[in-house]
Amino acid sequence: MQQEHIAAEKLATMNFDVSDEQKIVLSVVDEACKKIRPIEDKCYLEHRFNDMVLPIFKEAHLLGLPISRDYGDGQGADSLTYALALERVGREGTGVRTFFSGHTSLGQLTLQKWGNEEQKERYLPKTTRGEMIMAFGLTEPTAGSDPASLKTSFEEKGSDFYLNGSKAWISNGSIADLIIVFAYPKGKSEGMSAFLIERNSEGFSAEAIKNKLGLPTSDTGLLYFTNCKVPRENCLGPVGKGLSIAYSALMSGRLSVAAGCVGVAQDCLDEAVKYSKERIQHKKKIGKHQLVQREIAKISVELEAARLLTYRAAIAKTESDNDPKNAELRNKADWMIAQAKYYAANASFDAADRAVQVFGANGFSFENRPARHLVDTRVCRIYEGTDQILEQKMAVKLLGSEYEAYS
Amino acid sequence: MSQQQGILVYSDLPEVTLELITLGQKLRAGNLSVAVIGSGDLQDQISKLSVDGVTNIYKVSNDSLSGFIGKPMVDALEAVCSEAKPNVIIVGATRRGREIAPRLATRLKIGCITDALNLEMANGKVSAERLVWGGNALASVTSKGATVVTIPLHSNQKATGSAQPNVVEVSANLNPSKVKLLGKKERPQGQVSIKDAEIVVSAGRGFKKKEDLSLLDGLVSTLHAVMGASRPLTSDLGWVPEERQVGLSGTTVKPKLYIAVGISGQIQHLTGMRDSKVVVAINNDKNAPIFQECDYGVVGDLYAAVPTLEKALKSQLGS
Amino acid sequence: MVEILVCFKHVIDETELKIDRGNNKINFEGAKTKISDDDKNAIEEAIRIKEKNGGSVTALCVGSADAKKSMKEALAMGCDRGRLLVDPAFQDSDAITTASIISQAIKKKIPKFDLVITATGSTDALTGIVGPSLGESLGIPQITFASKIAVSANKVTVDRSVEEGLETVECEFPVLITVSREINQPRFPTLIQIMSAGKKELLEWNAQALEIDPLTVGKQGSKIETNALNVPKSARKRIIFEGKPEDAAKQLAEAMFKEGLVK
Repeated sequence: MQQEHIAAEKLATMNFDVSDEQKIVLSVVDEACKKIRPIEDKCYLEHRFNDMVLPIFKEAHLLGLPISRDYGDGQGADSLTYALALERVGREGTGVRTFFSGHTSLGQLTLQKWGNEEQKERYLPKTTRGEMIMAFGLTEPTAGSDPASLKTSFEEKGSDFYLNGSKAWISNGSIADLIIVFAYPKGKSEGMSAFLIERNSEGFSAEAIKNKLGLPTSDTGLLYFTNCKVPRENCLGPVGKGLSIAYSALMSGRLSVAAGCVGVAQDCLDEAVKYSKERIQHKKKIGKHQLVQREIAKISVELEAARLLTYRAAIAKTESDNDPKNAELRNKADWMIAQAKYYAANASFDAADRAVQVFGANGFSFENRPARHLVDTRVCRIYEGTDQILEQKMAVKLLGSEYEAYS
Repeated sequence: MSQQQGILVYSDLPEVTLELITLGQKLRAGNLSVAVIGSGDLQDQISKLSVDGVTNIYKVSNDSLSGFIGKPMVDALEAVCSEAKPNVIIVGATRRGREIAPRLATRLKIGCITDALNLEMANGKVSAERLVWGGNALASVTSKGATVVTIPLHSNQKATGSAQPNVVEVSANLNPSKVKLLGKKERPQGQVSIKDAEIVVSAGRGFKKKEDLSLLDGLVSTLHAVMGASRPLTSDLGWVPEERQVGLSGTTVKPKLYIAVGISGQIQHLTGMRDSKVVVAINNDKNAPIFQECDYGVVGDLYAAVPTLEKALKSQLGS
Repeated sequence: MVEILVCFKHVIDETELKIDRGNNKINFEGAKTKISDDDKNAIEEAIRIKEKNGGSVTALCVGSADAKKSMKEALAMGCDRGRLLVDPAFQDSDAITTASIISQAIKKKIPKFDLVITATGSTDALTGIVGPSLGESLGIPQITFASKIAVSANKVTVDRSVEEGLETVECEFPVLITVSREINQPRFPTLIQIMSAGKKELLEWNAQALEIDPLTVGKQGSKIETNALNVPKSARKRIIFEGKPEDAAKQLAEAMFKEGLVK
C-alpha cells in the first residue's frame, strides 16, 4: 500500500490485483459494514440520521484511513486502498459513504494537504479518533456549479477574521465540529480564501436540510455566518488561494463518490441476482426470463467499467500525491477522476434503476435496498461536480482551454 | 475395542439421559446400556434410569467424580466402554457432554459426530446429519467403526416405564484432575431460562425504541412466555441482555411456540430457533425471510398487530 | 510471562453463501474467507493475556495456502508469530485428525508453552471437537466454555458456564482453554499493524516437517466422512395473514387457538 514505485506500473498495466494486506483492510471494513447494515436499515425506514456510523467505524480505526500515521488514528492508506474501502462502504448506501466523503475526503485530506503543522496537530488527531467530525463548506444557496460566484465574505479586523454569509447542501454540515469554509474578501470577487471554522464559533449556526429526495440517514446542512469570528491561526493555506484549495479538495471528493458508486452498483447487482433467483413469475424464476437477464448483464458491464475507471483514477491520484509539484501528474489524475466520477455516478443510478425494475413492485419500496439506492445515488450526478460540469471538463481537455465554457 | 456392539448412553444430566434412552431404543442395535457416574451410591439415578429398554446400567462411583470435572468423567467412561464394548456411545450435548465426547473419542481412537440429527446405524456404520455453515446446510456424515455421538438437547421424548436392568459396578482407575473446582453459582431458581421455555416471544429491530419493547409485556404474561431477542437488540443496541439472544451466536431455543415480532429472520437468527415446533411471525416487510420459516405470519405493523393479538388471545382465554 | 498458543480456523464466510433452496444447491463461488468468528475471540483473549502478563502468542492454523491471509490478520491483531500447518495430505481431515495434526506440531516444534486457547467451535463445521480433542492428545488438563480468564503466576482461574450455572475453576499451567464468544469483543487491527504483520515470523510446516505419516491424516486417516451437503428443508406451513394489521392479528389469534397453541 506504499505504492510509490508500483503505482505507475499498475497504471500502465491495469493490474489491480488486491494484495493480502488490502484484503485484510477490506475484511475489517466488511465487519464494520455488517454491523452497520441492520442499523442503517432501521434508520432509513424511520428517515432519521444514522448516529452509529461514527462509533462503529471509530472502533474499526476507519475514521482517518488515508490520513498520515503521524496524526492520531490516521492509517496512512494510499488512494486505492481507501477507494476499495469506500467501495465496500458504498454497498451499505450512499448515505453511509457520504459521511466519509465529507469527513475524510473533503475535510481531513484537505486539511492535511493545505494546513500548517500547528493546525494539523491541533485538529487531525481528534478527527481521526472521531472526537471531531469534519465538513467542507463551498456551495451556497446561489453558488453551486459556479463557485467563483460565492457571496460569503470575510473581513480582517485586528488579529481576527469575520465571516458573513451562508452555505448550503453541506454534507455533515449540521453535525460537524470543524468545517472548511470558503469566502471572498468583503466587497471583492477574487482572492477567495479558506478558513477552519469550529462549531462553537461566535456567530456560527447550522441546521439540517429536510425534505431531501434521498440520503435520509446522512446529514446535509445549511450553515449561517453572522459576523462569525475566526482567529487568524484558523486561516487554511495561503490567503487568496481558496480556489486552488477547493479544486484540490474536489479531486478527493470526486474519487470518493466514484468509489462509493461502484459499491452501489455492486449491491444493486447482488440484489438483482439474488431476487431473480427467488422470485417466481409465469411458473419460473424470473432469472430465467431473458429480459431480466439483460438487466443483470447491463448492470454487470456498467459496474466493471466504472470499477476499472475508478481504480485507475485512484492509482493516478496516488502517483500525483507522491509527486505533488508535478502539474502533469496532477492534471492527469484530475481528468481520470472526473471520468471515473462521471461514469460511476451514472452507472450506479442506472444499476439502481435496473435493479428496481427486476424487483418490480417490490422495487418500489424502501424496504428493499434498490429503491434506496435509486434515490440516494441520484445526488452523485450532482454533488462534487454535476454531470454537465464534468462533461465540459473532459471535453475541454481534448479541445483545448480556449473552449472553456465559463472563462 | 473388539466385538463392539450395542449402545451406551450417558449424560451428566439424568433428564437428558432419559431422552437419550428413547433414542437408543429407536435405534434397535443390541444392548442398550446406561452409564451412571458420580459419587455416593447413585441409587436415585439408577432407579430413575431403570426404564423400558435399558438392559444394563454401568455404575462408576468415586469421590473425584463429585465435581463433574472433565478428566475423571472421561476416565470413568473409558472404563465403562472397555467393559460394555459399545459400538455407539451417545452423549447428551450439554456443555460437559460437548467436552467429554471428543475427549473420549480421542482416547478410544474412534470417530466423533457432534450435534447429530437423524442418527442411524446400519451395516456397522453410523450415519447422521449435522447442521453446518451457520445452519445454512445439512451435512450427511458417516463414521467408520465405533463412534461417539452427541445429541442436541430436547430432541427426544423422555423414556418412561420401568425395567430391571443388570447393574454392573465398574471400578476405574481415576486420577484426580489438575482442574480444581473453586465454586459454583447456581442459576437462580424460578427464573426460567430462555433455553427451557415452552413459549418464547422474541423482539427484533422492528421495534423503534427500547421503551417500545414493553408492548410485548402483555403478550408475554398472557402466554406465560419468556422473552427473547435477536442479535441487533442485544449485541448492537444493548436493549436486551445478551443471555436472551436467540441465534447462532446466542442461545438455541426449541420451544413449542416461537413468536418472532419485528424480526426479519437473518440466518443468524433462524439457526437459533429453527427447531421450534410452531413459529409465528409478525413483520411489516412481506419479503422478510422469516415468512419462509414460519407457520403463521402477520404482514403488518407490529405496533398495531401486537395489542390486537394480545386482546384477542385474552378474550379467547376468558381472562 | 505466559507462553500462549492460539489455534484458529480459516473458513468461508457463511454469510456470503448463496443458498438455492429450489435446486438444493449451496454455491460457495465468490464467497470470501475469514478467521472463524469465535476464533477471533480466542485470538483476542490470547493477546489480552499477553498484554497483561507479558509473554508471547503463537498462532496455529491448519489450512490451505490461502489461509496465509487469515494468519496475517491474526498477526495484525497482535499475535507474535504464525505457524501454518499446510500439506495436501491434511485435506479432508476430520476434526479429531485435525486436532492430532496440531498436537503433533506442538509436541514436535513448540514443546514449551503455558496456555493453549481455542474457540468452542468454528462457524463452518460447528463440531466443537478440535479444542477438547487437542487437550486430550497433548495430555494436558483442559477447561471448556470459559467466559472469563484470570492469570496469576503459574495458574489460571476461569469462569465457565454450564447448564446449572457458573463454575469457577483453577488450574496450573500447562492447560488448554476453550473460550465462549461472550468472553470479549475482538479488536480490529489498524492498517499499521496489518502492514507490519508482514514482518512477523510466519512459518509453514508440512507433514514431513512435522513427521506426520500422510496415511494417518486426511481422508484415509479420518473416521468421519462427509458425504453430501444439502439445503435444510423447511416444513413450515407458511399461512400468512395480510390486510389491516388488527384484522390479521385476530385471524392469527384464532389460528393459534385452533392449533391448540394457547391454553
